[in-house]
Parts: sequence; C-alpha cells; structure tokens
Amino acid sequence: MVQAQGREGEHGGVRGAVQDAHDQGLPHRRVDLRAQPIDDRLPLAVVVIPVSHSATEPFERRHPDARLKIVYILALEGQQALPPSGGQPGRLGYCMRMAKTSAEDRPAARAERPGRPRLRRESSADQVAGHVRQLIMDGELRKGDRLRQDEIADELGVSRIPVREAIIALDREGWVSFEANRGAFVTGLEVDDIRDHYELRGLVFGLAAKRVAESATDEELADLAARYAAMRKAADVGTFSSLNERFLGRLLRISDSPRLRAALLVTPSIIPERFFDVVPAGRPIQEKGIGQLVRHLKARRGDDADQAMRATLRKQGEAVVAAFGESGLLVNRPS
Amino acid sequence: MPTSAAAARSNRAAPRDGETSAEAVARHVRKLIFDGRLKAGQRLPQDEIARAVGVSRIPVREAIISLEREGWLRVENHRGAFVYPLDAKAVADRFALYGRFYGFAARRAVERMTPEGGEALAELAAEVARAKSAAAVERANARYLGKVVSIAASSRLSAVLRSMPPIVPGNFFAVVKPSAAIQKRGIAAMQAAIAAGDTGTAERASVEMQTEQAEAVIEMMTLRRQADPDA
Repeated sequence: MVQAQGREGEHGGVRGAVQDAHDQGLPHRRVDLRAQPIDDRLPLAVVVIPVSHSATEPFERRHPDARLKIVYILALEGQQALPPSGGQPGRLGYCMRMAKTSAEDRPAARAERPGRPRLRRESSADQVAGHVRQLIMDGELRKGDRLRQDEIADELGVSRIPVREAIIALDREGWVSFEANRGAFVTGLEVDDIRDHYELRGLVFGLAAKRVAESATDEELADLAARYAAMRKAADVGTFSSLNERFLGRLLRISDSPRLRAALLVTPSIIPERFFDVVPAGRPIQEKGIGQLVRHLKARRGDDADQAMRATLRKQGEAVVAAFGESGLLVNRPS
Repeated sequence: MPTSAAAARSNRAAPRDGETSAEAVARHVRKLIFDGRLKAGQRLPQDEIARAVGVSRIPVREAIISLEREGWLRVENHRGAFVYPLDAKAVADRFALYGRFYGFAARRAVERMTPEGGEALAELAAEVARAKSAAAVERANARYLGKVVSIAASSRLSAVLRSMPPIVPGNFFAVVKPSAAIQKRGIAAMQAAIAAGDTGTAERASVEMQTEQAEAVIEMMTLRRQADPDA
C-alpha cells in the first residue's frame, strides 16, 4: 500500500497528491492526523492510495519535491474502514510505534533535511502478501486452492524469497495454511469464520480496554472521551471511520502492550475497504459501543469495559454476516 | 562437511526433526529473550544468531517476520529488529490471552459438541489427572487442549493459537515448578464445566488457570534473573 504523507502547504504536498490522485482517477482517501501531532517531523495528513493500481509508482515519482513519506496506515479491521485493497492489516500498531519512536528516539542528526524526500518503500514481501490477499478477496483464489510460489514470483517479477516471506506472514495471519511438506493452501471464508474473527478480536480489545480502565491516567481517559465526542459529530462516514481508527489506536497505545497488538496483527482483515460504507449498520453499533466503553473507562470499571468491547465487536460481526451473507462471498459450513 | 555437521549435532539451537530453519531461529531467539540474554530494546544480532543456529540469513529474516507478528520484536526498516521487553506485563498479557482464547475454544466446543467428542474429551481429561511426570503432563495437556480446539472447529482460533508459540522454552511443566498442579486443577474445572454445557464457567476456569500460570512464571523469571546478574 502506498500512502503519501506530506505537510500541508509545503510544495502543496498533500494537496498536490490529492489533486493528482483525483486527476488520475485513483481511488484515494485523505486521513487527517492533525489532531495528534507528535513532533513536527511527522505527517499532518495522509493520502491513502491502493497499491494494486499500476499508476502508483509513477505517482510516487511525480511528487519527489513534496515531503512524501510512505507510511503504512492500517485499519484496525472490523472497527473502521479497512486499508485499501492490498493493504496489510494490522499495521496501525507499526505506524503508531513508528510515531512513538520518532518522537522519542530519533536523534536530531537524523532529522530530514527540508525539501529532501524520504521514501520508505513497502518491502517486496509485503507487496506479494497484499497481492495474494487481494486475489483471495476477489475470489480468484478459493478455499483449498494451492498457492504456486513460482507462478506468483513470475507474475510479480520477484524472486522466491519475498514470496516465501509473504507466505509465512499470510500463514501467521490465517489467510493461508502452510505446511512444509505440502505447501500453502488458501483457508477461505465462512460465516463461522467471520463470527469467530470478531469474537477473537473482541477478546483482545476487551483485554486492552480492561488494562486501560485499570492503569490509564485521568488525562488519557479524558483524551479518549474527547475523541469519542468528535466521532459522534462526524458528518460523513469517511471522517467517522478515521476518527474511530484513531480512537482504537489510542486505546491500544495506552494499554502499552506489544503482545496485544501482535495478537491483533494475526487476525486478518476480512472485509475489503471502507467497512462503514459497506456495513452501514456498523456506525450506530460502534457509536453506542464506544460510548458505553468510555463511560466504563471513566468509572474505572475494567470488567464492564471489557464486556462492552466484546459485545460491540460481536454485534459488528453479526452486521457483517448480515451484509455479506447474501452476496455469495461467504460460505456456510455444511452442518 | 563433517565439521559443521558434527557441530550441528551438538548444537541445541540447531534445527530439529520436523522443524524448519526459520522455526529453529525463532525458538532460539525466544529462548535468548526469555533467559534475559537479549534485553529489551536491544538490536537483534542477526549474523550471530545465524551462526549460533547454523543457518544462513534467510531463515533469520523469516523468523523475524514471525517473531514480529508474535509480539517479540519490532522491526524498523533498514535499521533492524529490536527486542520488546519480556517483563511481567508481557507475560501477564500473554497468559491472559491464552486464558481468553482457550475459554473461547471451550465455548465453541460446547456449542459443537458430539457424543464421541464428549467421550474422547472426558478420557483425555482423566489422562491429565493421572499424569505424574512433567513429560506426561505436557503430553496429556497438549492432547486435551488440542481436542478442545479440534471440537471447537474454528479455523480463526487455530490460526491465532498457531501464532502464539510458548514464551517459556522447553517443557513448561518441568521449567515452572508449580505449573503442573495448577494445570491439573484448571483442566478438571474446565472439563466439568464443558461436560455440563456451562460455557461461562468453562471460560472463567480457563482464565483463572492461565492467570495462576502467569503468576508462577513471573515469580520464576524474577528469581532466575536475581540469581544471574548477567541476565
């Protein structure tokens, strides 16, 4: 996934990128990070463009003078719009870690020189993984299909090494099942998988919520409450979606647990982009659920916060099943 | 190459039967972190690790991807992989997740139970109760929990559990002294609840068991590190 971030007003970085994406007919979405500038070297806004479009590489080259930094925006699946097709799920943890370490660790000597672009490319393995996820979501690879590593390598013009790395990542995430003697097979989507997926994420988020209720500072809780208030006022789905993303990212960061974030990384993104567009019932569910969560957090009721998260995610799961059940994308387990 | 083959045979970090090179690397790194030989924030010495395990850098790269997803490392492009602290909080979180995930497994198992499954599960629970040595407890425990997960028949759950290899290297029940007794009590409680179709109690039993295990592990790690000032 390619996202261009730039600083507003600097060579029109973000605005230029948005305009260009618009002119090229590239689907894109602007996500404002302005609410939480961590330091002045970090982006104020992000333009998200799906990497599966072949136009993205020339797009990157066309904007060398904007301070473009490739950052991996991730969507916490099930809660907000997902990354555009091909995006790696769960990278929010990585993005937030980058932001944190940048502010704390980066010595001044390594500060970017103004006007000099720093591009961080997605690795080949990530691109391969994104490509395979897309094939699965598009139905071109079906449950039980074997992944032919050499074919994928040829198709994408890479060696076998990134393909192997991608398969390992996809196996960890549950998209494929890899056994050394048999190879990699697509695991496929079933209604039960959707439900289980949301339950499992509910368990992890619930634990994070409980930790936050127990150990967050009052300021941190007030910050979460303010973010929730902003969510309720969001005029459109896109804004709601990104505010929701940031709320949950903040919740996870306050819980300060790489292990919880890691557990989320391996529960893979199931729904294609724009969760709240695709599942309209999702927004009221989320607003209600986060509202309950915030109340419980404020009252330091860890178990109730936990249950609120679990219930919210369970309902989201049901909403997804309802939205997709008719589309033929899901398969019912034979009983 | 007789020399390196001989070295490989005597090298405990070397890949074992049925284990890929990358898995051997991951196992080795987890042990280094658990033993405190790799400290929080430390950069992973990839070449050293490759040499210690007796493999090339490629499986080291693959292992880093897995370990990042498991929450042991954070990777910074072009700068390397850095160790996350394995402190009490990390241990508590990991076992809390086990408790929840196995509790979920128990719930799904109750929902999808069959008479054959129920009988098999009861027998495996009895084996856990009977097991005497640490090795026997390890085997019986793995079979019991494996059966619960199998009856639960959830590919998502299985994928998540696959991504959580143990924190404690070696036989958990041999390394953490009070753990066998804790596990037997916990499994007995879980099994009683599953047999009665009581998902709430089964989930609670799972969570309580893992909480106790976490406390035992933390205590053990604290003692170990106090005893070894270099760690």
